[in-house]
Amino acid sequence: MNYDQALIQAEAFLNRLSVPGITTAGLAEVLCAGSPRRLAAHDPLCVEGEPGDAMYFLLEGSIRVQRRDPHGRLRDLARMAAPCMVGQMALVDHSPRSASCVADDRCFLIAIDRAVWLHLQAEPSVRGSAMRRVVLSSLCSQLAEANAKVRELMGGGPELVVETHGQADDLLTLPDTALQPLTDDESEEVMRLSGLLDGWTSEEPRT
Amino acid sequence: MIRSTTILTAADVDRLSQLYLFREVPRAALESLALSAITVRFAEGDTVFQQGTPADVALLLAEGLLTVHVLGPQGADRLLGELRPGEVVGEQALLMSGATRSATVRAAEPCAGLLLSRELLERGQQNPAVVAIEQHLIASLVRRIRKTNQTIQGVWKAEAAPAPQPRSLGERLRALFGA
Repeated sequence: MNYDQALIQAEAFLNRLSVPGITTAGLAEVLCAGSPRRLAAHDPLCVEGEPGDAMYFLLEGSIRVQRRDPHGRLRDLARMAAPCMVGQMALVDHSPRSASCVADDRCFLIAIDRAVWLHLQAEPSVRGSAMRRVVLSSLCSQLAEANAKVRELMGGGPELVVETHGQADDLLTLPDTALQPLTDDESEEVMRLSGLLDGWTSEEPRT
Repeated sequence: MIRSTTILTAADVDRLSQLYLFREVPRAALESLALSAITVRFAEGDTVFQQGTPADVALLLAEGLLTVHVLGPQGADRLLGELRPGEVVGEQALLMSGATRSATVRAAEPCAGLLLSRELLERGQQNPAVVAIEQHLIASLVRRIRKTNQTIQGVWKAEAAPAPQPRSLGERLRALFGA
């Protein structure tokens, strides 16, 4: 992708997804550092459980996100439409893919592989800052959306903090009281909540 | 809710240089960061951030101990965790528009730190100290997301256990998150 094309794509991306402190030029430089990839409808992008060796800027088209539930059933988790970011969690923390992604229609993406990510995230530059900030913004949105979802599931209850803080992660443990099996609907809700935390958001823009 | 601000001292830069996140950052870069930021100090018991108030800055804790609390519907105060030097608290202010504080943060002992604003980070794009802060935030957020996700998925994993009485998903989440 040349720089002029990247500027157009970066502008469209930032018009839809509010990312404080990032410039169109910075994001365009990030896009230029990545590798273009095209998918036809139904082509796989990534497979649940496999190593996450790249993140993607989905610039055209949409993808369907699917995950297996504890009973092994494949469930639709989200449909993500361009422009958005896909697969950043697995790249950043070296974890396996938490879901599978399949192209819903023809897609155009920019892949940021591990080597490019490691280089850009450490770079004291405008494009390095853009790389870090677009990921940071996504991570913050994941937590905020999951927090909102928990509140909704709890009936719009009090202020709750889904995220754990600092050294006290172990304060959040399951209570000893045993649980009944969840209903199918409840199981679906937990899966979606977990998907939000993993960054598998709906096609609604984060503005 | 910032209680006190002071001018920067050499000791402040020394404290920053001892933080793990700045282990590879040149002292000149730390001095530049510290000169751009506002240095703050808190006495034991001071409120640093108040739950529900607008979030416009984050705090990099350089010295002391902070505690994080949430208030329940009846005003019950629940301790969520502790923050030690090198941690950044209130980072949503830097990354999301219109954010409000999701918890109250208090000084559990005398504390010192740097206030981080969006403008400060934007001006410091080429400062290795700012790069280190943003790298630290990414690692910290990912760790918290993974931990929280594991906790939530525990609802699934506990499905097979016998139960004394049925509990809805909402009740289970309340048990998890302490409403």
